[in-house]
Amino acid sequence: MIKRFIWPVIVATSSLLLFVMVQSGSTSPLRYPLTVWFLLVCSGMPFAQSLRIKHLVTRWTLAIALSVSIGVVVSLGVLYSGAWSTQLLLNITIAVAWAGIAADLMRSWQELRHEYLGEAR
Amino acid sequence: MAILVVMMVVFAISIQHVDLNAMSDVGLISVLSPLYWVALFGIIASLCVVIHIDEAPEYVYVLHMLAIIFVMHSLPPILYGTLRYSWAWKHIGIVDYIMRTGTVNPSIHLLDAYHNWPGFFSFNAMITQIAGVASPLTIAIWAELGNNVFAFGALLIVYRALTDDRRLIWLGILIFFLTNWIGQDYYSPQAMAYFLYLAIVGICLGWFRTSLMTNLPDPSRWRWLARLRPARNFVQSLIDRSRVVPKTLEPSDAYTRAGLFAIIIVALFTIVSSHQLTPIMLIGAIAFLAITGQISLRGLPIIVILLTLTWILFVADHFLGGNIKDMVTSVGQVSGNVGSNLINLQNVSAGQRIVAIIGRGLTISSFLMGIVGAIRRIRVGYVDLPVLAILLAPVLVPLGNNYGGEILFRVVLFSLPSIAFLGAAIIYPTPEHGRPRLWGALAAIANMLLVIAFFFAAYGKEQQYWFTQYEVEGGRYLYTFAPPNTLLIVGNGNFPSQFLNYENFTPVFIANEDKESRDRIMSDPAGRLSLWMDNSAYAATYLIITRGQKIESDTLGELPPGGLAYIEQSLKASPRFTVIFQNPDVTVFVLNRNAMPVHSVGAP
Repeated sequence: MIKRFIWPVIVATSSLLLFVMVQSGSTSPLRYPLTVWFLLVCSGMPFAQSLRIKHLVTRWTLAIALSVSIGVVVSLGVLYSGAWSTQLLLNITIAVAWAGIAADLMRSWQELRHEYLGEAR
Repeated sequence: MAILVVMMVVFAISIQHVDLNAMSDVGLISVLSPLYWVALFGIIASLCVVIHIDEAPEYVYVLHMLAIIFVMHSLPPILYGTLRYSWAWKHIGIVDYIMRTGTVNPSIHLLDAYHNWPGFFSFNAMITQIAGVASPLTIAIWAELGNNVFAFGALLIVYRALTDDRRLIWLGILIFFLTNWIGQDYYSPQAMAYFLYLAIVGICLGWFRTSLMTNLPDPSRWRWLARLRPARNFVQSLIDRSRVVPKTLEPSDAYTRAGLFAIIIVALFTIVSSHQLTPIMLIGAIAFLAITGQISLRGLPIIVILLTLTWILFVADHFLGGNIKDMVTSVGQVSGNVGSNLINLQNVSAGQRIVAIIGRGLTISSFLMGIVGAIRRIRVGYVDLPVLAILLAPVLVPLGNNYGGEILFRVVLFSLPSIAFLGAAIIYPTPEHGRPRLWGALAAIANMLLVIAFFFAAYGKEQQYWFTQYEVEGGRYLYTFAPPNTLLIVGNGNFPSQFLNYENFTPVFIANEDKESRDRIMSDPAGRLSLWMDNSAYAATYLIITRGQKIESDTLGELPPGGLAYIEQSLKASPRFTVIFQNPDVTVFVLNRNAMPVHSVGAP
C-alpha cells in the first residue's frame, strides 16, 4: 500500500525543492545534483511507475529514457517558440512530472478499488 | 559479492598515483598500475563464474556489470579532472550558444548540423541553466560513465526480449562493453540517441512481439508462387523458428502497452530532433522487424520515416540545402565512404600503429565471433531474426553516405548489440550447452583478452584526448577575450576549442593544408604565418599552439616530427609575433599590430 506512494512523494518533493531553489536563485551545491536527478530521473519516473513493470532495471531505464525525451521535447518547444527562460523550462517540466504523478495515482486508485471490491465480494 | 567489494577497493588504490605525464603513444594502458588489472580482471572473472554457475539473483549480475562499467569508464573523469576529447568541447560550445542566445542559427558558418538537430543541446542547455551553473562541463566530464550505464539498462531490455537463457544475456552484455571501443559514448547527441535507439528496439521486442503467424500468401492462389514453394517454405520456417518469445517477459495490459507506445513516440521525436544518423539505423531495424513479422507495430517504420522526413524538410532545410550536393555524390561510393576516416598506418607513430591495428583486429574478431555464434545457434535450431535485424540495418547505410568519414565506426557501433549476443552464443548457444567448467574458463580468458584489446583501442589515443588544466585555461582565455570575427590559426583541432563564444571565430588548421603549403610553412614559419595573419577582413587574428596539438601532429604524422614545436619556437624568436598568453602547455600569438589584453604568464 505505502509502496505505491513512494515515487509520487519523491518526485513531488524533488520538484518542489528544485522550484524553490531556482526561484530563490540558490547557489547551494545541492542545486546541481538535484537538477540532474529531477531532469534525468524524476520527470519520467511517475509515468514509468504507472506502467507497473516489475523488472527494476527495465523500469529505471524506461524512466530515464522518458525523462531525457521529455527534457528534449520541452526544451525544443521553448527554444523554437522564442521564449527561452529557465523558469519556463522548469515550470513546464514540473507540470509534466505532476501529470505523471496524477496518472500513477489514478492507476493506484483503480487497483486499490479493484482489490477492495474483490475482497468485499 | 565479497570479491566484488575487495576488487573495488583494489581499484580505488590502483588509481591513487597515476602519472599522466608519463603516458606514451599507446595511451592510458602505459600508465595504469598492475593493481588496476588485478581489479578489472578480478571483477570480470567473478562475473564469468556467476554467469556460468547461473544460480545468483539478478542483482548480483547487475552490480558486477555496473562495477565493470565504472572501473572501465570512470578513469578519465577521476584521473584527468578535465573533459577529454576535443569534439566534446565543441558540443559544450553549442550548449553555450543556446544559453547565451536562447535560440539556434541553422545557417551559421560553423557546426551548422548541430543547429539543425539541436535536441541534445537544448536539453543540456536547460539542465545547465536550471542547475544555475555557467557551463555543462561537470555533467559532460561524467557523461561517458552515465551513457554506458544507460546503454547497459537498454541493452538488458533488448537481450531479455531475445532469450530466457541468463547466461547468454549476461555474457552478451559483458562482451558488448568489452568490444565497444568506438568511443561514441562521450558527451554527444550520438550517445543519447543510441541509448534511446536501444530502448525503442527493446520495447518493440519486449512488449510488441507478435505471436501470430505471418500471413504469407497462399501458394495455391498463384501458380508462380507454387513453383517457389520450397523457398517460401524455407522462409516461413525461418520466421517460425525465430518467433521463440522468452517466457520471462512480463505480461502487459492495454494501459501498459499504450504507455510504452507513447514512450516510443516521444523517444523517436527525441532521436529525430537530435541526430542525423540514428533515425536511419532505426528505420532499418524496425522495418526489418516489422517485415519479418517479429513485431506487431507494422506502421512504426512509416512513423519513423515520416518524422525523419518532416524534420529534414521543414526544420533542417538549411542544412539540407547546403549539403545536398555532398550527400548525392557520396551515394553508392561504398569503398570511399567506408575508408574515408581510417588513418594511414604509414604516417603514424609506432604506438599509434599498434593501437590502430588492435582496434581493427578487435572489430574484425568480434564480427567473426558473431558469425561463429550465429552458425552455432542455427545448428542447434535457433534463428535469431531480431538479432539479424539489428545487425543488418546499419550494414546498408554506407551505400548512402560517409557521414563525415565516420560511417564505418557507426556501423560497428549499431551492429554491436547483435555481434555481442551472437558472440556469447559461441559459449552458450542453448540453455543446455556449455555446462562443463571448461566453457566458463574459456569465456573468462576470452573476456580478459578482449578487455586488454579494448584498452588499446578505446584509450589508445589518450595522449591526445587528455587535456591538462593549462590547456583548458589557454582555451578559456582565447575564447573569452577575442572579439567577434576573429581569425584563429591552429596546428590542428586537438585542444579545448570552440566551447565559448564559438561563433566569433573562423578557425584555420595548418594540418589541413596540402603538403605544398605545409612545406612552405615549415621552411619559413614566421614569414608564411604572418602573411596568413595579416588579414584585414578579420577584426583580430590569433595563433594558438598547445601540447595536445603537438602530440596529435607528431603521432598522426600531420607535420614532420617536432613540426609544431619548431613553428612555436620560430614564432617566439620572430619580432613579427608577440606572445599574449603562455603557460607550460599553451602559447597564443598575435601579429604585432593586434591589440589584446596581455594575460598572466605561467600557471593558471
